[in-house]
Amino acid sequence: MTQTPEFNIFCELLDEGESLENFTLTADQQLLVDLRQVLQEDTQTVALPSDFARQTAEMATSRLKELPVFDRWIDKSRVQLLDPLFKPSGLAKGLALVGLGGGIAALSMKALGVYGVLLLAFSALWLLREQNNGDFFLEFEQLAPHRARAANSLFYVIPALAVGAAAVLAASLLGVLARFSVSFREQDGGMLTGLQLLVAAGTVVLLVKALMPLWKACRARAANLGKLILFQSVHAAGFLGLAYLVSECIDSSATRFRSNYQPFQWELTFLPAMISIAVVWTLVIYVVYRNSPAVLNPPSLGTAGKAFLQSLLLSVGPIAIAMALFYQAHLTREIKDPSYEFILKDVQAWSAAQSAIPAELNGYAYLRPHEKDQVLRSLAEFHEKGPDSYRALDKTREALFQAQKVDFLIQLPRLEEALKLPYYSEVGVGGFRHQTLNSSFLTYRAVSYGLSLLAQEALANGDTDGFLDYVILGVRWAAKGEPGSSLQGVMKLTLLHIAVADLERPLAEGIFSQSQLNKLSSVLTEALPPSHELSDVMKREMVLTDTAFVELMSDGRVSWSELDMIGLPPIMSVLPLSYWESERKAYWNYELAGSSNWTALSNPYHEVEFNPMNVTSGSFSPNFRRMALEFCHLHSTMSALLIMTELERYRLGHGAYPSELASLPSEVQEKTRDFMDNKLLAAKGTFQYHKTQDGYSLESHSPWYDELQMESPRVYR
Amino acid sequence: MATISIQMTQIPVNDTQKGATSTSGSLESCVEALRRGQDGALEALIQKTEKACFHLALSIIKDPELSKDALQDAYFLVFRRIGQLREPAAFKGWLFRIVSSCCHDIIRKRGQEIETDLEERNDLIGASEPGDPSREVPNRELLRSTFDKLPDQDRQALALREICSLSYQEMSQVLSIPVGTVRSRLAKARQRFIKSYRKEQNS
Repeated sequence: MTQTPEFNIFCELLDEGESLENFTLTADQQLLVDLRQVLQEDTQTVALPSDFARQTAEMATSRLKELPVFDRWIDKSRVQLLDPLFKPSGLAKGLALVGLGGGIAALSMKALGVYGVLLLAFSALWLLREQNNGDFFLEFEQLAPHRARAANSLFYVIPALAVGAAAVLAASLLGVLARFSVSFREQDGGMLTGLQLLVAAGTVVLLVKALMPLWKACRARAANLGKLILFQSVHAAGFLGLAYLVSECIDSSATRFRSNYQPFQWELTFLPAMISIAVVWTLVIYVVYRNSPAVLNPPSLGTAGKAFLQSLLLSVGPIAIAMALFYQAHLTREIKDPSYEFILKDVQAWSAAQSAIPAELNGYAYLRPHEKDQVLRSLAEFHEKGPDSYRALDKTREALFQAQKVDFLIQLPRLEEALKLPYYSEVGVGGFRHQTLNSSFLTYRAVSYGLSLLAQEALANGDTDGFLDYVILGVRWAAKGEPGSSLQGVMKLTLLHIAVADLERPLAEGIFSQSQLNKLSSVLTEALPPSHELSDVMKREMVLTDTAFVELMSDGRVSWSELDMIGLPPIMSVLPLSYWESERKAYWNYELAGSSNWTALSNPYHEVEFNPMNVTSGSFSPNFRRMALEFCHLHSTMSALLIMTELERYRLGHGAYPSELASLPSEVQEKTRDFMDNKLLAAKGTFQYHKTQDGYSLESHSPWYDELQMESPRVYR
Repeated sequence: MATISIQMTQIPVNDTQKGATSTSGSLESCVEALRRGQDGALEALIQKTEKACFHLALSIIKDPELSKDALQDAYFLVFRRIGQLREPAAFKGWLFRIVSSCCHDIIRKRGQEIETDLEERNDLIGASEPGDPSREVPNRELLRSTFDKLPDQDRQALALREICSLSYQEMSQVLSIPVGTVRSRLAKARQRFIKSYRKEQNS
C-alpha cells in the first residue's frame, strides 16, 4: 500500500474532524475509522482506581516534602532545563560531544572554534525551545507585548545586549583606573577581578531592576505587530548607531594616542559609551511611551517609577562598596625603602647645583631656541642611509645638499661656542619642572645628522682630518652635559649613536695616522658615558616624577590644568588628593624595588608602559627599559671602537696587530669597563679577539645582550 | 460501501469525568490554581487528565501497572515544575510530553522485561462492554491487538492523535518533531496498521 493523494486527503479530513457523510469509504479507510472508535471507546471505559487522583496527589505532596532543599531550588531555577544532561543518555551524549571536541581540537584549533560556536548556537536554540514549552517557532500571539508573561525571549535580545555591554563597560572603567595605578600593582591580582565582577553585577542590577519595569510598561503599549516592530526597530537603530559612534571614537583615539596610550585610551572610550547606552535606552523608552496609545490594563508607570528609584538604591550600594574597596586598596601608607630620602637629597642637591650655574657659563642658555634653528635642521633630510648617506646622494640631491650646507656651516660656530662654555645644563636654566623636559630633540638630532653627513663627505674626498674633526665635534655635541631625566638620557644616547656610526669602517680600514688616533682615543674616552650614569639618570627621573607629583598636589588640590596638559584621561580629575599622595608613595616603592633589581628593570615592556613617570613626564617620555637597552648598545659600541682605535695604534707602533688583547697597554684596558658592575671588560671576557691573516675579528659578548634580547654577539672586523 | 459520519471526541482532558467531585472550571483554571499552590488543585487536575494520560501511557508501555507508575511519576513532575510552565494554554502538550518522557524512562529502566498482559489490560479498560457505542465495530479484538503490536513510534503517534485528540501542533511539541513530520508519521503509522491488520486477518 502506498500513500496515494486520496489516502492523504482522507487522513487530513479524519484528523480535522470533517464530516464524512458524503464520503464513500474504502475498506481501508473504514478500518481507520473503526480503530478510532475502538480506541476512544476504550478511553471512555477506563477503569483506573476511583481514588487514583487523590492517592497520586497525596503521594506527590509527600514526595515533594521529602525532596532535598537543593532539588527544590533546582526546580524553581532555570537549571532544571539542563536535566537531560544528567540522565544516562544525556550524559553519554554530552561525553560524546566532548570527545568529538577533543578529536577536532587535535586536528585544528580553528575547527574547534567553529564547533564551539555551533554547539553554543544549538544550545541557545534548545534553551529557547525549552523556555517556550517545546516550540522552536514563536508566534506573534506568544510575543504579544501586552501579555506580560509571554515567553518572548527574543523580545529581550536588545535590552540584554545593552545591559551586558554596560556591565562590561563599567568593569572596564575600573580596569582603566587600576592600570593607571602604581599602588594597585601591590594588591592581589584577584582583587581587581572581584571588584570588576561586583561593579558589573551592580550595573546589571541597576539597569535590569531600574529600567526593565519601565521597558515592560512601555512595551505594553505597543499592542499590535506594527507598533511592536516600530518599537524594536527604533531601539535597535539607536543601539547600532551608538555602537558605530563608539567604534569611531575608539579609532580616532587610537590614532591620536598611538605612541604610548593606545591600550587604555581604547578602553577609556567606554565611559561615554556606557553613559550613552543608558541615555539612549531611556530616551527610546520615553518616546515609545509618549507615542503609543494605551491598551487594556497596561503595567502601571508609577509602579515602574518606584521600582526605578528602589533599584537605584539597590545597585548604587554595591557599586559604592566596590569603589570604596578599590580606593582603599590604593592607599599605600608608607614608603618602605628609606633610601628614597637619600636619593631625594642627592638629586635635589645636584639639581640645586645645576640651577646655580650662571646663564653666561651655561652652553644650553647660549643655544636656547634661536630663529636660525630651522637651518640647523635642514641637512637631516639627507641622512637616510646611515654611514652611506652621502655616497647614496644623486647629482640633484648633492647640489641641494651643497646649497644647504653653506647655511649650516654659518650656524656651526654658534654650536662650537656653546660647547666651549664650562657647563651645559637644561636644569640650570629651565628649572626642575616637567614642562621643561621637551627640549628640541628634532633640532639636536638634526645637528648630529648634519655633522655626520659632513664627515662622510670629507671621507669621500679623502680628507681624513676633516672627517675626524666633524666626527669629534659630533661626539662632543652628543656627549655634552649630564642628563637630568630619562628623556635627556635617551637623547644623549641617540646622538652618540649617530656620531660614532661613521667610525667603524674607516677604523677597520686603518686609514688614520698615529696623531689622529691619539686624538680620537682621547675624545672617545671622554665621551664614553660613565658606568654610574644609567643609575644617576634613573634616580633623577624618579625624583623628577616625584617633583611632578608634588607640584600636582600643590595648593591642596590637584591641578587639573597640569593633568590635562600631559594627557591624563578626564576621569582622573575627580580623584581626591589622597589618591595622588598614595600613588606617590606607591611609585617610590615600585621604582626603588625595580631600580635595585636588574631583572625587574628588564620586565616586559608593558609592565612599565603605565608607569606614572610616563604619564607625568609627558606622552613621549621613554621608559627605563628602553634607556637601559640603548645604554647597553651604545656602551658596547663605543668600547669596541675604543679597542679598535688602540689596536690601530698598536699596529702603527709595532707593525702588526697584537696576538691578544692583553698585549694592549693596561691604561687602555682601564678605559673599558662594564657599565653595570664597573668591572674590566677584558677581565670579564666580554670582548673576544682573534688575529686573522689579513687583520682581526672582534666580537662583543656582553651578558646584558641576552637579558635585553639584543643580537649577540656583535662582530667588528 | 457504508456512509458514516465521523464524530470527533474533542480533547478528553477537558471533559469532566463522571463521578468527579472536586473538579469545576476549565483545565486552564485548574492549572492556574495549581500554580498559585491552591489546595486540592493537583487532585482536580489529575481527575481532569488521568484518563487520557493513562491511555497514552498504556499505548507506550502496554503494561497497566507500569502505566500507573509512569502516571504517578509524571504528575509528581508536573507538581514540582508547574512554576516553570509559562503559558497555561500550553499545559496539555507539556503534560503529555512529561507522561511520554516518564513512560520511556520506565521502558529504559526495565529494558525488555515489559510484557503485555492483554487480559489484565482488558479488565482495566472494560473492552467487552463499551459504553453506548454509536455502532458495533466488527473485529474489535483484532483491531485492538493489531494496534498493540505496532512499533512504539507508530503506536505513540496514533495514541496521541486518536486517544488524546492532540492537534498536529501539539503533537509536534510532545514528540519534539516538526508539524510536517507529524503528518507523515501519522500517515505511515496508519498504513502500517492497515497492512498488519490485513496480514493478521488473512492468517
